Amino acid sequence: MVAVRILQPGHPEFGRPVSVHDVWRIAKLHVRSLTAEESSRFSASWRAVQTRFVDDPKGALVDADALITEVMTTRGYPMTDWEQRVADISVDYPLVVDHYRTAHEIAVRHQRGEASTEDMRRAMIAYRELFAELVNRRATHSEEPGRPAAARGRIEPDPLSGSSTSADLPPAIRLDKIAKRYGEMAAVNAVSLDVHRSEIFGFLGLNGAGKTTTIRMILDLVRPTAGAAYVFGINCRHDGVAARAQLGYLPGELGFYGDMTGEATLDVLARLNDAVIDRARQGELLERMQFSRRDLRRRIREYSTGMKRKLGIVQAFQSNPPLLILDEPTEGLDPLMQDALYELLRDHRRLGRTVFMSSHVLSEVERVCDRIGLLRRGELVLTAAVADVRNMAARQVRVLFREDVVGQAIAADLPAGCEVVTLLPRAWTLRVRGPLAPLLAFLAACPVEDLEVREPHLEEVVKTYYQDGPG
Amino acid sequence: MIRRTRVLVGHSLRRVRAALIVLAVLLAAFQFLLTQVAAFLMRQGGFSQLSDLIPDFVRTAAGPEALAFMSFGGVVSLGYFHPIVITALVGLMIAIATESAGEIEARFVDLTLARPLWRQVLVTRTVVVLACAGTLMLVAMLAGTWTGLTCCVPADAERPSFGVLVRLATTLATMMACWGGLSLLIGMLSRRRSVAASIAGVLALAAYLLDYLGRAWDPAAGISRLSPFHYFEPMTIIMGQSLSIFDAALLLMVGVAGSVASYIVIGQRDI
Repeated sequence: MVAVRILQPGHPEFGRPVSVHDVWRIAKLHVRSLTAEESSRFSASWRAVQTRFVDDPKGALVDADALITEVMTTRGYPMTDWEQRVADISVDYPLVVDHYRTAHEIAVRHQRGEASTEDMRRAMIAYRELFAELVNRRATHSEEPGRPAAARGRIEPDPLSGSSTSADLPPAIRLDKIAKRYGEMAAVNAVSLDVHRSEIFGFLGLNGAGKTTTIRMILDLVRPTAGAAYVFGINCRHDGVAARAQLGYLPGELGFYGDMTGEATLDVLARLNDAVIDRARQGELLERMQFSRRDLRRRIREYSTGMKRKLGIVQAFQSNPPLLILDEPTEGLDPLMQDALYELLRDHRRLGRTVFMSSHVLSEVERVCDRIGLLRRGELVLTAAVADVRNMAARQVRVLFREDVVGQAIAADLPAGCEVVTLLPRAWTLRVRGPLAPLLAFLAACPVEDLEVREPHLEEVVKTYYQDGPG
Repeated sequence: MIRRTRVLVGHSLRRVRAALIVLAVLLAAFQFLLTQVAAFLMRQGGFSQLSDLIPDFVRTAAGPEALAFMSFGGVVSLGYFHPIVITALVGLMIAIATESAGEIEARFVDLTLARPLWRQVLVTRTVVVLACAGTLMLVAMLAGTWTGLTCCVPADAERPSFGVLVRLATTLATMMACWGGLSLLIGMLSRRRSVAASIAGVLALAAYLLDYLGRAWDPAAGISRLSPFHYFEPMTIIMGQSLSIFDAALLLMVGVAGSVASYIVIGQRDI
C-alpha cells in the first residue's frame, strides 16, 4: 500500500486533498516522460480516484496505489524506485510544515469559534504523528552508513528551483534603491527589498502605491530612474533576457487577443520560453484550474474574466519557473479557484521556488504569504514576516467575571501593555500587546469565569500603515 | 533568439493572414481587370480616340507622359501607381507597422516581453512581416498582370515587357519600404495603435497631396521634395527609362532609417 504510506499522516479533515494531490504531482514529476495521451488517461483515472475518496477513502487509496503502479510499470520504472521515493516524501519537511500550518489555522479558527474542539484536537494529533514519524525516520536513516543525504528525509532539490541552502547565494529578487519618476511625480521612491528564495512574498499597497510599476521594473518593461533590480543576482536592466528566463509572470491586466483560442495563446507563449514546456505539467495545471480542453479551443473573447485569469495563471506556471511574479492573481477568480491557486502556490514553494505577488486582499496575503512588503505612495514602509506583523497588533481579550468587579480601581493597576477598551461590572474588554502572562497573573486574584482571546489579524496592522500610520 | 523571432513572426502572420489573402486576391484581380480594359480599348480602337479627344493645350501641359499612359502598356501599368492601389498598400504597411503599438496598448506585450526576449525582437518581427506582406502583394499583382497578358489579350497588343513590370513593382516596393519604416517608428513612439495609425495615415495623405501640388504648381515644386511620393516616378519607367537608383535608394534609406530609429526607441522607452 504505497499510497497509504504517504497519505496516512494526513488527517481526513484537512490533509486529504493536499496529500492525494501530492501523490499524483510527485508521481508525475518522477515519471517525466509520460506522453500526452498517457498523461491524459492517467489524469482521468486520478480524477476518479479523487472523487471516490470522498465516500470511500480506503477504496480510493487502493485505486491510487494501483494507478501509480500502472504509471510506473507503463514507463518501465522499477517499483522499488517509487517506494523509495514515497518513503522519502512521507518524511518530507515541507509536508510537515504544511500540516502544521493547517493545524495552526484550525486552532485559530477554533479560537474564533469557527472550528470545533474535536477538529482542533485531531489536527494537532495528526501533525504530531507526522512530526514523530519524521524524527523516527531521520534517526533510522542516519544509522545507515553510506546512505545519501538527499535520501535521508528530503526530496532531492529540483534543479529548476534555484533553491539552495547556501547563504551566499543571491536572493530571488533584490531591489536596490530602485526609483521611478514621471516628471515631478515619484511613482516609486528608493525602494530596497530582498525576497528570499523559496518564500511567498506579498507585495501590498493601495491602488496607485507603485506595486505594478515596481513589478514592471523587475521585468524591465519600465526603466528605473535610479537604482536597480536583480533576479537571482542578475541585473534586470543590463541582462534582462537572462533575468526573465528565470521567471513566470501573471500581469494584472491580461492582454490576450480575443480572436485567438486559449490553446493557440498558450502555445505561442510556451514557445517564447527558454524551457521546454512539459505537456503533462500543462495538462495538470489546466486540470487543477478546471479548464477543459473544450474551453481551450474556444476564442478568448468568449471567456469570462475568471477564465481569462485562469488562462493567465496556466501560462505563468507552465514553464515551472524558479520565480513567479503575480500581479493581483486572484482578481476575478471565484473562491474555489482562489483555493486552487493558493494550493498551486504552496506546491510551488514546496519545490523550493519563489513567489512574489502583489495584492490588496489582505486575507489572501495572510493565508498564503510568508512575508510582506508594504508600499505607500511609492515608499516601502514595512517589510516583515506575516506572523511578526500580526504580533504587532494588539490581541483583544474579553474577561467575564462570576461577580461584579469594581473596574476602575482595579483597571488602574493593569500590567504594562494592557489597554482598556470597555469596562463593565462583569465583563472587561482589553487590548493586550505582548505576552498574556502578566495579564493572566493579574487576573488570578479576580473571580474570572471565562476568558476569550481574539488573535489579531494582519489587516489591523496593515490598515494603520495605509492610513499614514507608522513608517 | 532567432527561434523566438520566428515564433512571433508566425504569430503575426497567422493573425493577419486573412486580410493579406483578401488584399492580395483583390490586387491581383485589379491588375487582371486592367489588362482586360486595355484589351477592350485596343479592340475598339479607343486609344487613338482618347488621344484625339485631348485638347492640344492639355497635351502640351501634360507632356509625353500623358501619351505614354494612353497606350495598351500604359493602361496595364496603371495598377502599379493607381491611387487606390497606393492607398491600399501604404495602408497595409501602416496597419502592420503599428502592430507593436497595438500590443503595447492591449498589454499583450507584457506577456511576451516578460519572457526571455530582447525588446528589439518586436521591431525585427515587424520588419520581417512587412517584407513578407509587401512581397506577397507585389507577387500577387505581377501574377494578376501576367495572367491577364497571357490568356486574353489581342496578339498584336504592345505588351509591357516583364522588365518594365518588375521595375514598376520595385519602385512600388521602395515606396512601401519607406512608409513601412516611417510607420514603424511612429508606432514605436506611441502607446496607442489608433493614434499611431492616424498620424501615419495623415502624414501619408499630406505627403501625397504635397507631391501633387508640387507637380501642378511650380512655386510648390521645391517643398514637394520633402514628400516621399516625389521620388516615386512610375511614368518614367513606362516611358522606357530605367529605374532611378537615386530615388529608389532614397526611399529605401528612409525606410531603413525608420527601422533603425525604431530599434533605438524601443530600447529606450517604457513599455
